Amino acid sequence: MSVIILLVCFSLLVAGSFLGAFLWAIKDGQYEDELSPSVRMLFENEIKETTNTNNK
Amino acid sequence: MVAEEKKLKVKCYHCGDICRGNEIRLDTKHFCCHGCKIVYELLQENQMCNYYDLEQTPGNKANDSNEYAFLEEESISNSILNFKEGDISGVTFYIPSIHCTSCIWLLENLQKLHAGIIQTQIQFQKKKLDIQFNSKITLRKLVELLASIGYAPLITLNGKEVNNQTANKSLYYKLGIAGFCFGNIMMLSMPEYLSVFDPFNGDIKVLFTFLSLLLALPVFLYSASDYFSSAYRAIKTRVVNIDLPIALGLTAAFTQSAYEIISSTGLGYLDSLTGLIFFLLIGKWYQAKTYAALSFDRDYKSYFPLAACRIKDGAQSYVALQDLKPGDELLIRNEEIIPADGIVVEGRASIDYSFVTGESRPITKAVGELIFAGGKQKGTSLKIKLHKPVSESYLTQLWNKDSSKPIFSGLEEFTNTFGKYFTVAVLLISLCTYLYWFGKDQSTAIYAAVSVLIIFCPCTLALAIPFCFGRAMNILGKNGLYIKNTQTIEKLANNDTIVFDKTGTLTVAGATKIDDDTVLTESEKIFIKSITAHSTHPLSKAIYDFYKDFSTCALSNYREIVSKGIEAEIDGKRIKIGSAEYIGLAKTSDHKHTSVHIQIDGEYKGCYRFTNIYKPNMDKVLGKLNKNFELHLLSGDNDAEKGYLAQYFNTERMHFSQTPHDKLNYVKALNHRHKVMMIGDGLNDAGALRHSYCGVSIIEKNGSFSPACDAMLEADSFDRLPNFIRFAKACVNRVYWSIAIFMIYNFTGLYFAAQGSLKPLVAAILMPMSSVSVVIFVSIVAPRLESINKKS
Repeated sequence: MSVIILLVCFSLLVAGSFLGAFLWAIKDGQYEDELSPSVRMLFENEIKETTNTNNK
Repeated sequence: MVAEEKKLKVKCYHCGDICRGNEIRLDTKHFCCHGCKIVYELLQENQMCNYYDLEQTPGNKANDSNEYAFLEEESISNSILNFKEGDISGVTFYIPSIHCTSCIWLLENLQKLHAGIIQTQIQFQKKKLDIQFNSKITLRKLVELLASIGYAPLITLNGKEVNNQTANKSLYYKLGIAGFCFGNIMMLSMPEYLSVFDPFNGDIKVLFTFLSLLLALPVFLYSASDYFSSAYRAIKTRVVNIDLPIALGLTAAFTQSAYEIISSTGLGYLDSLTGLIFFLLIGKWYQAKTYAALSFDRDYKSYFPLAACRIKDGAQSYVALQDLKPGDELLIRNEEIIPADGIVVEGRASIDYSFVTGESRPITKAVGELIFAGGKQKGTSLKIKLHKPVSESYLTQLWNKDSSKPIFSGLEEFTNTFGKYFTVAVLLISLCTYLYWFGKDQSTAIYAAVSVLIIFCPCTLALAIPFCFGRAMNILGKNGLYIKNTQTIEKLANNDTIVFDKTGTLTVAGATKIDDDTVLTESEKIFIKSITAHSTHPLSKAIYDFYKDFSTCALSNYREIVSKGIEAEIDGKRIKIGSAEYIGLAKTSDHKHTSVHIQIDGEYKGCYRFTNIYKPNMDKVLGKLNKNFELHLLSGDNDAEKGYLAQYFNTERMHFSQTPHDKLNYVKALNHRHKVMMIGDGLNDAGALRHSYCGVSIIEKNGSFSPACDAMLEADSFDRLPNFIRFAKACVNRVYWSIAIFMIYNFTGLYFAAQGSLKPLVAAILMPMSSVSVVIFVSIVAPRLESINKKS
């Protein structure tokens, strides 16, 4: 039965890492502007080296 | 000479302005300034010239100035910068002129313009630009560079928007955490759902329930915190709000669950509780999205078609408000509103700030002093130099703030009051449900009571009106009727009487036929033109336009007596222009025309005769409105056209030679018996517009802003007036239907919830569903745009 405990802990860990990724994305500002990135990717341009959006 | 003229007609390829002065050319394209050319070159370099194919002259007018010297100051620049790490600095600007996708491209390629700029990133909806730059460029140079390509940032030293941003972010955090915990608690509750706990070893059951409790804690304490703080505020101020029953339900469910788990008497309802919070937050997120979409549309799409008179190189032209830039010189005439903060350049300003402060005593300002947006000039016209860009949102705010209108309690007020009683009723019903079930089945008691609290929530009611009317507002705006706020739609729908002003409303402004019956010398004609330039009266404008080819000169002692005439002194001569009465003549027997008489130094110089040209669709519009409304006519002119207008208006309801005060009193008297909609040009009938139930001002292309009205109707859209009214009526009906749906929904839900056959989780799903269904209903059944456009 202890395997169940192990599995539950593991599943929580995996789900938690996804939650962490989501929170990270919010913190980084991915949900702040949903329009310009969609337009931006269509611009014919040299590839941008930096994709950092953080303006802290 | 011919070449000179030709050059005048050349328009800048980038911004559409007329090119003057030094010729700046590239290939076959002309540019009005260097900034425009730089922008063009930059675009051409990157084969992005279809920028110009997408929209005609999409560029912003570039602007040269020295006004950013203050940015050299260390303390100021530090307060603006986001960060400064050694060589690299970062800054975020709010740039009001960001308006299209081309702007995104242009501003994100700034590093090509200057080596000092490392990277730029735009946030379109917020009109913000993040810039990282190094020591090769100073902050001042950077701002000047932006200004030179037509994207001057608006620099404010307060950080209001930042707060807004974090509020928005926290909802996503809460949503994410609630979703995570809800999912995992569901999983941990699986054995319970399948009723397989018995064969298990007790330890696992304890582990699972305690783990659930642990996961539920952040949801209860963090994700749901808004409901608690809102409920707390409600209790503190002793008003009932819709968050109160929700907060109560959540607390009850959590306490019960925690007690059961800790005392090992049961398993609790943590799955339902967290699911409930998760779905509540989704509902909230959806509502926020909806509101954001509405306000974006309002801020960025529905510009008022208003204009101001810009003076450039001695020539006057009407320019749309949103195209005005700091540094532009404007001519502000008598009774006109100042569109943006500026500095008096010429003339004597006597500003009435009644729309801003409520104080109507004019404040005098001399040349060089600052005057603020929203003030109204009284007296001679003056020239101002704009200091700040025009803020449409400020003008809208001003419009909405006008407190002189009686408070209107419409549907919104009704639903708010209704919602309050509703909430009290919910609390009582929930309590009764709990007490009823308590004796029979304890677990059902808490289920049923919480379900009642959740399902019976008036937030759908709160959503229906802003959504339906907000949409309608956009549709109306796109079709030429700009309304002040959502209540105006109800006002439009509820009228039973319409009062028309004649000049400029039923007649076509600026298309009047003038018969010149004056004996004037050339210089006197210049005098007449100069004086009429100061007045906004349609007849003055007509005379001004009549003398197109004459110049103007300075004058003194200008005076305008509303709906009588104007006078001023030039070269020591006293010149009076106005009605026969004003000049001191006996009333003439000529009733066929409207006449404007001229008197110079007591000597009669003849008159201009105006023949009104009525709007081409007036016949149809009035014919249609006559069926459903009582029509009245108030005119400041004489009764020359009474015979003609008698086919539309009952003779008893036509009144001529009315002063603004007469009009006001007439509307006030009518208001006792009817709901009056007043339609006028907003200048000499501002008082009547203000006191009518629903004041609509007709605006021409070069119209000026008049905060006294409830709605502004573009002159070209006049023929759609009956359609607008029908549309408004349909919208109000829609809201009634939404309320009906809401009631059916809630009472059905209540019926099942009180019986204990509805789990709180299901209730939590149903609740946002009811909001969604109302929104979908309003959108699908929303009165179609075609009903406005349909010509019949």
